[in-house]
Amino acid sequence: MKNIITNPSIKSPLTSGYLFKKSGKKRKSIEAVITLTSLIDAFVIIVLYLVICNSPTESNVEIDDSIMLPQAQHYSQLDDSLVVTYRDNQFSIDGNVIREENLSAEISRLSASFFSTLKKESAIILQADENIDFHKLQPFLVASAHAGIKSVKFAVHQQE
Amino acid sequence: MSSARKHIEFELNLIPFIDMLSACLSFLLLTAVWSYIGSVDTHQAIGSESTSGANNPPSLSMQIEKDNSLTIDLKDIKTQHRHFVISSAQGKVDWVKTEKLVQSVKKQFPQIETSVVMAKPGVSYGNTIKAVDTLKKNEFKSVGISPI
Repeated sequence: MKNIITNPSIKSPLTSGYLFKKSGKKRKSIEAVITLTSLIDAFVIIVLYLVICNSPTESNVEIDDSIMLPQAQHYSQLDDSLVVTYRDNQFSIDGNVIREENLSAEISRLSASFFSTLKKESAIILQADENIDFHKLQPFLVASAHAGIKSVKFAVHQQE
Repeated sequence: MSSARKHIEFELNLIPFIDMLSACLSFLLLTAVWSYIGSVDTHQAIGSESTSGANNPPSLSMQIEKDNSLTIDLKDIKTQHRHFVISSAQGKVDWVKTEKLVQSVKKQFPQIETSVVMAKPGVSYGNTIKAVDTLKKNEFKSVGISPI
């Protein structure tokens, strides 16, 4: 196998890729070199920009794909908060079903431990299907108020 | 000396690097249109934070009925027209008319910044959130949900 260091007569495929030579008498004068460095720079900048812009949330909030969330145009980014899920007529936190009468105490207990580590204002996120009766969610609103949660957030999809 | 230097020159093959970047770029551009998940935020007054004794600010209350008709009331504001009713369109809430009405109210009374959404039993969660979204879009800063 030929080595480019020991055998300098081998032409680099890259160099030959750069040069577009027109056959003829004035061949040397019309050589064109495409500089790939600037192209790579542009690509890197676009990729970094897209990577930063495409990260939809800063949080590790798990959203249940089986729930059809309501749509909204005016929404804010989800951040790390306690998530309450309403599905099959039951409230649950982290997959553990919680009875309505214990909801306030559980929210209070979990939010105390959750927000003491994050040192943020207490907030809670509700994810529920858009087609359910809103009145079924009222125990959650009452329980979160009893638990001293000031900010209630409703998980939504971006409206198309 | 110069010939020895020439021998150790080599070129980095940039083609695979460009291929990789192109693949990343295509992937990111395609996935950029995927829908995002966000949240509609509401704040609730707790215990002693209620506004008892204070002058009530001008506000708008939006009530959604079970038949998807909608009632808008203006409170604590001097106007003759305080009560608006929007009938449902084909059994659904007429969001086009609602949006127009909310826009005109906000244009006429920019001092109204407080609004409350009230959903009667049987109203869907989706419609309640849509009502909150409509008000937030029209620059009502303080939007609340009130149980009936």
